[in-house]
Amino acid sequence: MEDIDRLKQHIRNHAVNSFPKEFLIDLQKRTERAYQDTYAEVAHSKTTLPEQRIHKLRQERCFRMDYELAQAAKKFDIPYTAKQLAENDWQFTYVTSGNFGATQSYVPQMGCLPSPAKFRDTLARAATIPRLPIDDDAEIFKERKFYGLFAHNPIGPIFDEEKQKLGSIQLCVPYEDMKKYALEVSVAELLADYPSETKPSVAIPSPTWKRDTKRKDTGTE
Amino acid sequence: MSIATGFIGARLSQARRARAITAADLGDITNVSSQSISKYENGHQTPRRDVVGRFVSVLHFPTQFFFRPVDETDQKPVFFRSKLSAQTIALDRAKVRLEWMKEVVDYLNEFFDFPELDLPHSQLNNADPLNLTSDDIERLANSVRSYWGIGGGPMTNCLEHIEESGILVSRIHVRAEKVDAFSQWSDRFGIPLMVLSLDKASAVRQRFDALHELFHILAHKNVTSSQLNNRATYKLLENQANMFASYMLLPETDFLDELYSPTLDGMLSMKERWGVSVGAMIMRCKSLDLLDDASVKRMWMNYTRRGWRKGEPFDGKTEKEQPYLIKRSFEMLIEEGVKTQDELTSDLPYPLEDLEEIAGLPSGSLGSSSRIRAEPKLKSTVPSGNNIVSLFGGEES
Repeated sequence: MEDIDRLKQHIRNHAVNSFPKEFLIDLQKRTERAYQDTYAEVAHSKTTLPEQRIHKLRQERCFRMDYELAQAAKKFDIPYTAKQLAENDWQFTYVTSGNFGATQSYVPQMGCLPSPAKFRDTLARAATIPRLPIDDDAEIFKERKFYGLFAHNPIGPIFDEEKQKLGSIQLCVPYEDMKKYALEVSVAELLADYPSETKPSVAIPSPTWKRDTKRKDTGTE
Repeated sequence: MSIATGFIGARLSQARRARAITAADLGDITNVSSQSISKYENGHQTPRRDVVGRFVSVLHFPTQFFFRPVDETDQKPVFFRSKLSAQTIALDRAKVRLEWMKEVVDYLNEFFDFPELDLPHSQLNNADPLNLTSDDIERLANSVRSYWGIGGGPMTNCLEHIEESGILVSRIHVRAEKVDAFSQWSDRFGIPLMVLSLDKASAVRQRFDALHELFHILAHKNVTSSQLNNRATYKLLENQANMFASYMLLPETDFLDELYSPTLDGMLSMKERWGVSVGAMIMRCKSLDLLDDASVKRMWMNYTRRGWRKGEPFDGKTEKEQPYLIKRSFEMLIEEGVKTQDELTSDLPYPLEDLEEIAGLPSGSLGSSSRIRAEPKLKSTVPSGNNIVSLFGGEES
């Protein structure tokens, strides 16, 4: 195993120990719904030019995904905040779980970093020690071993119902300079790393003994 | 030296093929001419006892094996999955074990009644297999599901249903990359037998293999060996069996209802619940026209990029379905004191590892010994005593 593979596996192991499995399943389901709902909203909007629908969709989806990430965190008692970030006055959902601090972002396709670069720089700075208002959960302020983001993208770029369904949602962990990912793994794939639940065994009838003629009832004691 | 009276040449042939060695190689190893080996195997000549002893020690078979009569071989063809690219020697090795499985079943039949053959009656039984359409196959898959009482959604334990239908199943180490499973209708027993490869790591793949073989059993009963030896026909029959397995595992409506989107992650999310590989789902999406050729190609590229060719996520985690009937029969014979372990191995004189495998028993349960690893031996010229430093730091006593 090469060093990079070891590093990836190391981060994956930490992710499995940090995020509850149910949280990731819920987040994935919420993301699927969010993609479908926001598409339907924008597609039916009477006040949006057809040429601008795709842009509106991306924007709507961004807000909706922040909401869904916050709701998923809330459901599983994971500390989260959406308070203003000092670096650029931007507000985005930030969740902390175990060794991870994470945000979410749309990416045009898998492997891409979020854009613009300024946003990444901000994320990189914020990642070192999140500087958030003090009226948040104390957990939010704790320094984490890894800072990642749930990067998600649609199936394709065209404004079309099928193409604007969720293509993938991945847990991406960038290097500190935010110029490259150390780990990109889809949530679906990460879920396979969790210990499997044991299913109850099925009771199957045994083969039946052949009738033993010697054991036939004699009719006497 | 005396002649080994009662020696069964066909058993030598079986033992040699089971070890996947040629007659010439066996001759070289045992210092017997290959012509003599051939004559022994054909029953034209009987070897001396010392020669039999050589076969025993070289091939690692119990002596009694070479004296056990052989029943008539079934004439129906054996359906091998991936036969085209598999080596004849590997297929031969597998066929021998299928014969042994039949002998084991024959032996167990003295003690047990296995479930009666109960397969759904299908119009395909009498149809020409070369003219089956995908609609015919889908109809059969749906009728089998409903015959087995499976509602919508994922298939439950496939092997359980197959065994309850009266088909006996075993799993062995085929030791051939290209052979996943095989099956045959036995003329002698009037039932089909199915063997799955233990070499494959994936539980979902095994489910697919089992249903693939089930189709051969249901719809290809009357296929002849000559038809099977025709490459084009063989491919057609294999495709039909793959289609059937796919329809059984992923019925159109239920699959589409649950598939959020035809993406790798969308399919992966369904894998654990449905017990179907992402690869099989890609093929099913293609057959349902959810994906065009270009999308399928792109998807396979991404599949490879994610490293899933070597193994998909969840592959090592899902527990494989286990054949039950043969295993349970052996357990019951011992538990009820009908047979001792020694009696069983004497009645069924196959190599213990093979017998345990066919029976589905854990390795060593009938007395096979795990291989002992070679140890380095200290040369006698090396002085021992005070100048030897203990690796564990303890003082020498």
